[in-house]
Amino acid sequence: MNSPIEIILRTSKRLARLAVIRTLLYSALPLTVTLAIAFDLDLLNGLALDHLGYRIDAVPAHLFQRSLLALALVQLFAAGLFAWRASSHAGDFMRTAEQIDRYIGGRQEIVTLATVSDPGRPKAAGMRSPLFPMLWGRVISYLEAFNPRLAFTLEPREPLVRSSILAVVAVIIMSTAAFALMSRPTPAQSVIRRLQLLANKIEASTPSLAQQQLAAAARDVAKDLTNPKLPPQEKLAELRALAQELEKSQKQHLGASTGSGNSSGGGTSSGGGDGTGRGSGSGNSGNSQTGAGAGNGGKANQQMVELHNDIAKAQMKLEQQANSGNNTTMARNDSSKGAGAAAKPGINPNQPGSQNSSNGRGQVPQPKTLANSRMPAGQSPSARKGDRGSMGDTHLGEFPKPGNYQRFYKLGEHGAVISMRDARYVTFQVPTEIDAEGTGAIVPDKNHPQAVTPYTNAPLKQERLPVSPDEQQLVPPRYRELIR
Amino acid sequence: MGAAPKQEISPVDRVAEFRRSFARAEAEIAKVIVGHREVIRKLLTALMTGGHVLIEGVPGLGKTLLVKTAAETLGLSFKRIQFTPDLMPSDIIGTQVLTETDGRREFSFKAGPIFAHVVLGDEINRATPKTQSAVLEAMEERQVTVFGTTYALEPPFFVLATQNPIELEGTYPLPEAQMDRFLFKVVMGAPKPEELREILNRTTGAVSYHPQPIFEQRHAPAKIEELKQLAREVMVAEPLERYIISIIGAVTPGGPGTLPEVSQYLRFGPSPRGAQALILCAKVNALLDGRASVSYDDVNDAILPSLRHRLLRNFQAEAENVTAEAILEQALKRLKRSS
Repeated sequence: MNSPIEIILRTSKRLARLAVIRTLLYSALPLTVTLAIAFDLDLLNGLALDHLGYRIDAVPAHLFQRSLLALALVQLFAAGLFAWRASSHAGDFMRTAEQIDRYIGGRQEIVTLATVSDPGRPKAAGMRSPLFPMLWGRVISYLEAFNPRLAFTLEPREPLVRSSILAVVAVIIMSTAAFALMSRPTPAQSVIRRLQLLANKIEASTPSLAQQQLAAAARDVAKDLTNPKLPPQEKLAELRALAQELEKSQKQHLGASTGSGNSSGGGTSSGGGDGTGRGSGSGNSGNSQTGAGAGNGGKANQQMVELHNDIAKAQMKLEQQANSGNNTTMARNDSSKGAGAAAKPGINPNQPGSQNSSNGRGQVPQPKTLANSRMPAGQSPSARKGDRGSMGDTHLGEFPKPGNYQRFYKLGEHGAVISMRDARYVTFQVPTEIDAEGTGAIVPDKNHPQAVTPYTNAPLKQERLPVSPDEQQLVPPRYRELIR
Repeated sequence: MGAAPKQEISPVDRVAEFRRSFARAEAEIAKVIVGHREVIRKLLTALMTGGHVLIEGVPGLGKTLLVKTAAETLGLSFKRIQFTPDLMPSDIIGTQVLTETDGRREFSFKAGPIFAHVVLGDEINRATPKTQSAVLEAMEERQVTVFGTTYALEPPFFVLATQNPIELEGTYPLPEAQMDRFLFKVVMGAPKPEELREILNRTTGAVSYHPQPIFEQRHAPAKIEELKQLAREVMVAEPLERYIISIIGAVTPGGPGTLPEVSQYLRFGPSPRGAQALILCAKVNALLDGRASVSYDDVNDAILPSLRHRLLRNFQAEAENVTAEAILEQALKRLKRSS
């Protein structure tokens, strides 16, 4: 039989070990989650872009990743500190005696013995009374059947539950921070992402040599697009070349895979500049993929169409950048030649049939500054910034202020035929897909094989009324900022 | 030839002897006093710790009989002092009287009724503060001084004072400082119906009940001193000491860990004597349970009798009829919850 002091000391070591494990369990999940997010931030960023349409830019993402790693380091340090504290706390001789007392129901006899026999306090022995032998004997009888290993076991459930709560809190905080850092990607970033995905996809399948080259080209272009030192003209040229490559590859693919597929559509690629400045307009051949024979290539086609869209947008942006670079030169030229270049819009690849060639007069989606300039006097966003009106809610006794608010035509207000040209918002009915009979596969609906456009068209009204009558359709104030 | 060496008694035997004596005393007193088990136990506990007891109860509950029976059971001398407003200190502690022996006149000390092992101060709140002070001084110092001469009171010196909570006209309630000198304040309640029936049977029949002394009269003081010594040898663990300190702090306005109710209803809390009373009572409780160390239950059992008379309520508490017992119970609940 060991002495009670030895048993208490042995138990204190076990309790200290358990306390350390328990503390580390508390911090395990939050630490793991933080590290996982830090190391998979690129992947998560890509997923956010794919599913939410937002991403964290490279610089903030890098900073965020650094912050997460620092946070993980802090967590690790804190876990170590708490583990050390828990160990010293749980391993205390008196506290151990109290725990044993509670476990065996010793009515504080163990802790009394510990008080007068603490090896860490030599003065404790002086507190012993003539009744000490009786106490010693009673404690020995208590501890006869006591086994620290059986009495004090690790119960991981509670620390893990707490740890998971901490992990959830950590995820919420980190997600909030990530959302705060997110922004809508530029067209170039969208293209980069799509190109990377395309390259991955091609490489994931067993590609032919041509496809491998295409994948490599896509990666190269994606890499070049991220290069800030590369001039926009070069980027634009690379992008055009890639677009052509893609088009060619797609045609080959369609020719090989569809017997009755109908690749229709035409496009004109035209560019021109007015004046002596360098103006460039680019157009990809409109390429509507139609035909029932496409099989499950429909989805892939959709992705390709989206890629084309993004490339077109990126091209337009690059053109603008290139032009803005040239405009400095052109401004000097304008003084002598009196002509400048206008940016030309791209071509909507989703529009079926031939498109008008860009002639520089087309109405393009207007940048914010231009849209602002078209607003009625006194109604610019800056002027209305503080005027939140009633936010459309009148239940608090606030009524919309009569004003010259921007509005849209109602359908048919401007006559039966509405020109597409001035449309701000156009609603399409997209080709529908149906479940193939019995096969479970999704195939294009033969009744609606292609997009129908437009069945709703609401162009911006040109003239303004001094006061909007009640019956007019006001733009709700809460949506004003959404109108671009 | 030297005396034979005194046989060493083991601690276990000493504790067993303590329990046996205590149980016998309780049983003998119970022969006369019906019910009031807790009061009897606290009275004997106070005796074993060397403290004094204030018994509060309406007239006719057997307070005087209880004290007299206790003294008789323990084989101790007993004196009773009926406190009245015209009682003088010299009536209690004694005085110098002029005596003539062999033609010589001299002053000699005539001891008062305070010179006994067990003194019953009946209705102590009826005497003037001056007289009360004389008794209370003797309680604390265990000695009296008359005309410059100090006379020690023979141990065990045990005062049991009774106080009538009704008929307060013409009384002098004990000052708080003097209340503090009583180890316990026990409250005698009305007997239960079955107890009352038993009381009637015992007191109105032909048979009279008398307790048997558990100690021989000449050995009784020494025996009781031994038991008192044993009670003081019981050990108290460090966490228990902290617990007692936290109790005192919790019921002391402005103290560490004061409860909100305490700040609201009390003017003053217990003095260090309160903590001493708690520990001593807990030690006796531990011995009665056969242990050599104090447990939390021992302390909790001692809280009410040890502290109830040491809490000085304020006007709000009296107006709202918040008793000291209620405050102590509240404190105990909080402490149990937090421990």
